[in-house]
Amino acid sequence: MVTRGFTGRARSASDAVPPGQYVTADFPVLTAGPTIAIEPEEWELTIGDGATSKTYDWDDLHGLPMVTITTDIHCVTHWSKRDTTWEGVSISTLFDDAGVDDLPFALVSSYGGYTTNLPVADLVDRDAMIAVRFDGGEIAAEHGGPARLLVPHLYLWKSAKWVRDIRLSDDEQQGFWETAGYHNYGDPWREQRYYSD
Amino acid sequence: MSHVDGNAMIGALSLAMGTDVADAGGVCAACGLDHPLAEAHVYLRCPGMVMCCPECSAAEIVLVEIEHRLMLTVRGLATIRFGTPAQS
Amino acid sequence: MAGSVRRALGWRTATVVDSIAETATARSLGLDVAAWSGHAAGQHVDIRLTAEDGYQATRSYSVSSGPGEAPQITVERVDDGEVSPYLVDVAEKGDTFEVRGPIGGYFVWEPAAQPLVLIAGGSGIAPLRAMWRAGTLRAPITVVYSARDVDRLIFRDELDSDATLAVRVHLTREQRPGFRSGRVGIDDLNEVIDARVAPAIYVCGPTSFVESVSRHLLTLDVDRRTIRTERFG
Repeated sequence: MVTRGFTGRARSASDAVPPGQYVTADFPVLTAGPTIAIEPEEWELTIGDGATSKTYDWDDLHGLPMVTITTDIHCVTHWSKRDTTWEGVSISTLFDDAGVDDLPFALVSSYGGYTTNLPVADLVDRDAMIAVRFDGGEIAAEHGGPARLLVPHLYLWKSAKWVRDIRLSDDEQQGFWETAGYHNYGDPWREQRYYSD
Repeated sequence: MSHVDGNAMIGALSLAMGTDVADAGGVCAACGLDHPLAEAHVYLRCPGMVMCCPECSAAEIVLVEIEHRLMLTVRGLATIRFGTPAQS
Repeated sequence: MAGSVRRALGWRTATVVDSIAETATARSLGLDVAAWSGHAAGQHVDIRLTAEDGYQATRSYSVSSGPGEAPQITVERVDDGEVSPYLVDVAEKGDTFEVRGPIGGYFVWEPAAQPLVLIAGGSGIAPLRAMWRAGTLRAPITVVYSARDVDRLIFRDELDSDATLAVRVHLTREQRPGFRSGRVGIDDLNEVIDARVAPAIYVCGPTSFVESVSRHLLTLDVDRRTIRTERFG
């Protein structure tokens, strides 16, 4: 049944954002658990393929070439935010530096226990990065700082906050929302929200 | 935005489980805390509803409503105790 | 049993039959729900709104009317919310939306002779109103209510006029005769709670308020099993 006078937040019908999305100017905070507070000095990221692994601390990461991208981001809860600017280390740079094999699947884990999975091709062939700055400043803890994964061409639940581990594997293992009924891949332009889409 | 009480998820959880869980208790699989589900911490500002242990914050139950079907994932409860008064 | 839960918790149509502006930012809506089976004091309902393009939003609201009375919710507008602005500013008598419930057996008070202490922050007063309206004269009831300023007080006339309630109102951002200023502190709670008589204590409000009051109560050696809390985001 339709509720008279209820629109929800304004949603854009423009084709500038994927179907079913509305544009928001603010940056909603969505989290499946408490905000994790980690100082850059305590933060570490491990990249591994089962045979080779390398752990980066904050300084190690900043020793790698940084890139800046401006991109739209899309949350499965229907909001999109346009023209966000992120600075960080691209995943392909990181994987090359770590010397890991490009096995087909990745499971990404966060401080606090969150996980998500995605094809390695989506990490290395597009704009995916370990982001350390957002719109010119540090990334706030509530948005995943000090460092988060950013995979802007997939729904934002793939862009794990407080990232601590990326494990490459021949076998696919599903993450937190993927296990719970969300789409395994999550392409916003094909509106792949749920497993049934 | 922070968490709310387990209460906020009891209705949908009862519907999913087919029995009223207002008085149900659970044992966290991560830290072993025995607690009423109504005292868990619930996060609603996310793609689904997530119930977390009030002690160690491990995710215990994830509930998603997909096209009018409820999908329940019990990730982190060792035990769920139905129908008896919750002990704290 | 599954069938009865499904009936109780399936979505039903609610029609707005009464609308009361409680403050500039809060409104009570009286609802007519087909086959409403009655509610206990402290229970809540889920409300689901559907936009024309199918977009849906669901939120939980406490029932603020007493058991035996018609269901009523009391809603404070949250500035970045999308359901509360509709309920406070848009919904009118005759409008309909979906409702599920009543729900909850934890934050519920069944009338008893044991003293009752109700502690509310902001619109957390809503489920506690259901409790004092359920009260009998046998149980002494104390209400501790914290709001930003006097204009944000919900149910002020009722709290003023009900002689069976011992009421203490805190204003956190305003000083005014007859009111306490500042947040509810440990001394304020110590005055109204005698741990030896083991009152039933219900605390409802924003998370930070409930956490702070709960910590104070445990410091006062109150048996934690007598404390029931409900937080909202």
